[in-house]
Amino acid sequence: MKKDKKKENLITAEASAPAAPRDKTEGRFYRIVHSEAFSGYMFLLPWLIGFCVFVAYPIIQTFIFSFSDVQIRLGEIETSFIGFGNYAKALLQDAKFTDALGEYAMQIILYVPVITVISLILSMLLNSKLKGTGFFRTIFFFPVIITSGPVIKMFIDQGVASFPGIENLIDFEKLAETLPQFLVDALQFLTSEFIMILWFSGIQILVFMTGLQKMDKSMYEAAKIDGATKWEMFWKITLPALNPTIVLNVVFTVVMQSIFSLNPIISKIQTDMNATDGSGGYGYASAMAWIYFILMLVLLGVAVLIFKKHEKRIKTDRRFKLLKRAKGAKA
Amino acid sequence: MASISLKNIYKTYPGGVTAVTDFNLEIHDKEFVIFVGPSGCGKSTTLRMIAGLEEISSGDLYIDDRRVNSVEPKDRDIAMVFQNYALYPYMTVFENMAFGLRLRKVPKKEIEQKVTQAAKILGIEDYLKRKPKNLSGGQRQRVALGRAIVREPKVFLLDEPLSNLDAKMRTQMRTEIIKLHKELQTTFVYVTHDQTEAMTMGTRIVVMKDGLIQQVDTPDNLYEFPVNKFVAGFIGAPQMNFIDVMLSQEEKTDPVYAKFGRNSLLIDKATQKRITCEEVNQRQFVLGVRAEDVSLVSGADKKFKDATVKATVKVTEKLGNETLVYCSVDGVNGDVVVRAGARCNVLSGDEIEIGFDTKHVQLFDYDTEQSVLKR
Repeated sequence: MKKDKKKENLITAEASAPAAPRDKTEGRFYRIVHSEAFSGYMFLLPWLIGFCVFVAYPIIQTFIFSFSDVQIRLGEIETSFIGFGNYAKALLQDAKFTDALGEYAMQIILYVPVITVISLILSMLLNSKLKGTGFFRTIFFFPVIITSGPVIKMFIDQGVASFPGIENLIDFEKLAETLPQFLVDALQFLTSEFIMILWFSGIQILVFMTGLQKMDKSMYEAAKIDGATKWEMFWKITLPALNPTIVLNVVFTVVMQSIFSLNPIISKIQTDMNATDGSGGYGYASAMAWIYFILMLVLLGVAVLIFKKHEKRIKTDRRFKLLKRAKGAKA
Repeated sequence: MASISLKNIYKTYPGGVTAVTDFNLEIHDKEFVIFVGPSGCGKSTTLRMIAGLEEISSGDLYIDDRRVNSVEPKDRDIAMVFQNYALYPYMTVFENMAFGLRLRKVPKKEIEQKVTQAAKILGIEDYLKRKPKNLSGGQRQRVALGRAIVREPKVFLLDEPLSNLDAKMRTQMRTEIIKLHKELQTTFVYVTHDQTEAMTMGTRIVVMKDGLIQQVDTPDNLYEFPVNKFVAGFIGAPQMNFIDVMLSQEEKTDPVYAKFGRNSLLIDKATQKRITCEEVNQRQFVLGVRAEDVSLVSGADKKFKDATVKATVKVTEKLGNETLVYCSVDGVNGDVVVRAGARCNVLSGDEIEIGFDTKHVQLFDYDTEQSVLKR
């Protein structure tokens, strides 16, 4: 009892006494530890450590390697600076690499718009009030689950990814007589890769569907009363509203295509890195990886710019002309 | 400017749910008709059928003597304002208002003229360049109204346009819509669940429940002469007091008393004359009395002769300009609400006496809940 009373006295004394000036550093430490930001960073810490060790460090290391001749002897790494030698070799002497780069660029240029358009169309169909949409949604998303590395390799090897029926329908030789060769090539590429394109659209369809489901239905009703046709509603309401989603899907498609495990450039970099005949090595592989990375960034930048520009155009289209006139009329 | 005629309109959904049953209504040119009722009563469905956004299961809908059942919304010459504004988020205020006109290929100069004129009426001239997300709720609803005005439609359809606004803005917009109706001289059909909006705005009110029209009348008549217990309870705040009573009248010419618990109220002669039933003696009815027709009385007060009862105050609500006193009265399920003056000083637990103005009471059949009083 006595002890309790003493405690009570202490508490009241503490409460009534003016706050004693605290040690500055202790106060700051206390504040930092108890701040929300600190908790946030603590949660982030495992990921940050992982990122530094497994991503940031290797990136810097490969950048240094790409300008060096790297020799690995008995567990020791010896590097000697050779400037842009590896880059020059990759771009000027290694035809296999430049061919693979060209094929990759072509693939991205064709895949991105086609996957974007197809997934947009499919998402709109799957979003409509049809019977069995749940079943079809599963069907289109299914490949995303099953087409992981080894499974897809087996499928491609067995010819599941191509669809000879479609390819044989079109006589490409005859087409080449009337159409420019690059168009025929692109068409042939698309038909042969048609199933792969559908397989790679699962996530994009899902992203578009979330975008579509977020849209306010009464907006379409208002447009219907305003006299808009379904076609006009798509171009003037749906598409502008979906533009951020389109940009997201474009970035996603480019990145997914670039890190796809069966990508020929990635396999070439891997084999060259471990080459023992002196043709490759870590330095050369790093240079190729950096060229590939820069090309990917450029393609990504171009794709995003095109769609961002489209978004801006939608925003500014006609608006200013009409506003200027309205101002003029007011004046 | 148009009249609307709804004849035997039904709306049945594929699952078999009937949202609107045998809806018959003539809306005259330049009228401001309000559909009011609780959630799910079919008021919005009816409005959407007029707009063409909902298919009519059976019946005929005429706008200006033209049957429009299968006419596209855009060809019905109507404009609609939605509860959530339904503005196009990627367009500016100007573009939102001009959208419908552009689709109709109206010359650009005319569009500019109409939009600026509508913006002037609604006081949104300064916001024409802004996007809807940069506007307040009230401004957005003005834009939605502007979008309707520029079309110069025959009929304005408004689906709970003020429900998303705060109380102050709602009152302000209410007045503006009334002004707009006077200015435009067009037919307005307005849906709301708020009986204050209905009472203040409409020239006629359609009270609905479970897809059925309960009563179509002017605000005054709805308040004074409700046709059934539902209408009486729905219109007016606080809700009308309902008391299950037994009427007693020994001879046809004798006065009528309403008895409940140990209480007895003398029914006013004027009300007695309005009773349509042949025989009322020893029959059960529901007596309806509005809070303003019940008063706190002192013993000397002779106004409520033979129409006073003892009550115990349960709760008082001070509203500033008035006080609502909730009392328990013997023989009454629930509370009896009394509308007292601003400076009323009764406290909960007080034993008081309350008087009923039986000249203004309502009587409903106990089983059918229909009014047994003629006008």
